[in-house]
Amino acid sequence: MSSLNTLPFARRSETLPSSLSALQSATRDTLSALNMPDRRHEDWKYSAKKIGDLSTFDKALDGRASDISRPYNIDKKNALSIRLENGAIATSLDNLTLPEGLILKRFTHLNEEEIGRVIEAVGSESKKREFEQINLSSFDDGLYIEASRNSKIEQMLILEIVHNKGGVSLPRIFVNIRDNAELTVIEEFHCTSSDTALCISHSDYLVAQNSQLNSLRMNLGFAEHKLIASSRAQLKRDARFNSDALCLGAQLGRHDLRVLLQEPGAECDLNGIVVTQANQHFDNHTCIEHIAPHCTSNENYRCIADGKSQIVFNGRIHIVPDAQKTLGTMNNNNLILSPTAEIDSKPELEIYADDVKCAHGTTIGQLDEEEIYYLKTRGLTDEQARQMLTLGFVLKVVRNAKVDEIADFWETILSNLLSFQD
Amino acid sequence: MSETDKAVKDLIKSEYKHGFVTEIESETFEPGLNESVIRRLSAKKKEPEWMLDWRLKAYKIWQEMQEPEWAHVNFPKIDYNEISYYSAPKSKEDGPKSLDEVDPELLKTYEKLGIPLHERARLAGVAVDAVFDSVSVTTTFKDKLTEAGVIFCPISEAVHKHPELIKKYLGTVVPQKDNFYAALNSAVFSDGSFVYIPKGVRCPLELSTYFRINEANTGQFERTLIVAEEGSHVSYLEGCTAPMRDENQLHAAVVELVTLDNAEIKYSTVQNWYPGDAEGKGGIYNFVTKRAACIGKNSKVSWTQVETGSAITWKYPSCVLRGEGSVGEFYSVALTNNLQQADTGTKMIHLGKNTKSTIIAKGISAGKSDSSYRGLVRFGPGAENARNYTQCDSLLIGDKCGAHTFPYIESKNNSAVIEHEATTSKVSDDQLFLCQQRGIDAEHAVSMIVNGFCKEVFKELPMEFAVEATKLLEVSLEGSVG
Repeated sequence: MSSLNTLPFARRSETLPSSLSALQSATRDTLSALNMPDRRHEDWKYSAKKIGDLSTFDKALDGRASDISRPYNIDKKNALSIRLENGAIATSLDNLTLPEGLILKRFTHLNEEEIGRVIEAVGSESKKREFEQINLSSFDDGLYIEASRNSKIEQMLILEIVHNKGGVSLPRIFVNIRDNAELTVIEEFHCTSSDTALCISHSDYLVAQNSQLNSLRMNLGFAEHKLIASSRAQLKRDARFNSDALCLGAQLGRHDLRVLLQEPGAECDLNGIVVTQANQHFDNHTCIEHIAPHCTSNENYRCIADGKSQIVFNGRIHIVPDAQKTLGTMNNNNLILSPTAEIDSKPELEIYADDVKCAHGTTIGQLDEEEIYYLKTRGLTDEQARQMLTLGFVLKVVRNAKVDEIADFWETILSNLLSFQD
Repeated sequence: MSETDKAVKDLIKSEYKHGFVTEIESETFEPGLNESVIRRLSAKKKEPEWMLDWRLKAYKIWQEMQEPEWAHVNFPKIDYNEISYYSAPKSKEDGPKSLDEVDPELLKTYEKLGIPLHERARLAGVAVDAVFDSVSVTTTFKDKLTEAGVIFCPISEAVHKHPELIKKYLGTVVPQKDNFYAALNSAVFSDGSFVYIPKGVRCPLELSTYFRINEANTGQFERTLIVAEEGSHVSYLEGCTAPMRDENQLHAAVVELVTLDNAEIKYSTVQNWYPGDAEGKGGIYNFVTKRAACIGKNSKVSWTQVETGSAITWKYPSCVLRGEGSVGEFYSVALTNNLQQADTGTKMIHLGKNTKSTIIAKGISAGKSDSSYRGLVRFGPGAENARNYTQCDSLLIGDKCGAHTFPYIESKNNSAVIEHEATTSKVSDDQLFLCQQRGIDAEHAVSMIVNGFCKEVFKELPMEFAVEATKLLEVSLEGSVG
């Protein structure tokens, strides 16, 4: 088996500042010790088969301006859009009027202090994560977002992360929320390429004391493409992190979300909706690390698999010794709509402190015949009843999304997807 | 909590009650494992050629296998050449014919363990196939069982007397290549029980085998095979205690259960092997492969286990639900204290239509121990209308212990329903306070709360085991409150 640094797209950027460039070179050494995950790799047990041969892929560079119309209505006053194309920042950041307290920079323009933060956030444990390392060793540019101290930014930040050419793109986002600040970031992953595309993205979120980050993400147009994303949130004292994700089927969809609750009082709320059809595949791996006492975590993922598709959910709550008074709940509910679909769920608890309350629940099943019968007695057809119940199953989570416009948009997408008229 | 602290300190000092060694001369192979050891072992047991071949095949497979490392346990690497693969009480030519002929030392050992032989046995209604180290010495109540047509004998005897049954079923549930320890067991299994319940028979007695590891440095490789023919029923009890030893003893057993149409096997285990001392020295390694094949329609297998002993417990009693409407049940209490580690759970593989499984697993961690529930629930494409309910709860006593759950849930069927829930919490101060306020001391209060926590499992145990289990928990929890 050849190591990951032999992949054609695993090569460092030419334009990054020297310290980031040095980091990329160092990461290449780590990469040489890693192999492409196979099914014996616990984290890739169910999804390794979908990675396929990547040795023919190269970086997708210079894809020209693709036309992405705003898929949902949002008042321009309330939102600011930034375009990333094939990993490069396509929007000119110099001419933007930014709300007070918001700083946006390309990685190539960072000062030493900011670079220091980016490097520090990487952490040593990421060394085991193959695709995170690929991104780190080979990204060309990244977007640095900072909400300054005490700035509650009303305007949402929409990141249109577009992949418009066959090959590999390596977008990298760094979000730094300083003390007492608040920001909402929407990450939209679009794929408009006609050739097979692979997007290996990574996002870092630092949420400082008493601040809040609302993170929303979705992937659009990936049905024939691959998306392997990783995110890591690090929360300080009384910080709050909300994550809402709409995961639509892809040839291979994967999101590794790690939340580190590093100081007391930190709280996270992770919500996800996964819907796959045909031969699609989506794999969510979440890990909540309770490192400090008095932290709270909530997680709620709902998945629907149809056709011959497969959905994987691996949720892990890890409570270190002395992280007392922890509250953790995890819920994963799954619906299988066809006899050929598959759902694999692994909700894990790893607990080393005693004064904690932790629970997880998982269900896999189908619609309740009694509920269908009830709706039919009210005059609905069988199809309408099933559609209504299926949609209702995911709407519980959809409506929790922190931005109403996004929740509406997701509801529209899902009601189209789940309508039974082919 | 100073009063409690004192109680804790006192109790920590209390030692393992079943730790004693019976001095009996025994014949033991020198440590080491190679083909000739297996040939000698087989010759010693006067096994037929096919049995030897079967063992040698397993040995070849084992040599090519890697020791698994995925479990959530830590232990120094085992040197398989330091283990002796055969140990038997010196036989008086052909062995004892009745109890009177049995070595009195041996009988004393059983007495200390409270095994009901003689009248006690009849009163308790239990037939004991007592395995002392590796060779079955005595089997009681043979007559009553023979009358019913039930075969209950050491597996080494069955190889001679019922070769057709052994050939037909041995290794069908747990094949030689199944896993590292199963392959090792297949190569060197010493003895164990064979049970055959003929068509339509309800076994008149609860069958019971007490395993006891006695010889230092002797790995015990038991092999149990239970076959329940159409419409039959049997309840099998397995209980273990071991003498105090300083060196780790490996126990890699294999248990195979086969149920045909409408048959039922209830397999209960109370395991109280030496867990090592408070510093984690000594103790048994318990790496067991237990699996049931529910081949027949509407067949049922129920595993009930109470695991309080062993330094390391690593086992997953499983059910392969192949027959239409077959049922698998798993009820487990795993208690770890001091430096014990347990990675246990079950696998329910649903292949047939309308199959059902229930998993109730209770883990209790105290001291500096670690206990993990690891389970697999898999629904194949043919498992229409199959159903699973899983509940795994963990209770933490003390702030140095760990409790983990690693459930794997895989469904390839859209008509199947799976429910899984898990909780982790500690013995609440409120509950403790309430009990203490009523004059119950902390130690008893915790014991009461823990027993309440495990009630769902205990009620599945046969009567005499239920009593033993409650006591076992009390003993095992000693020194953990505070």
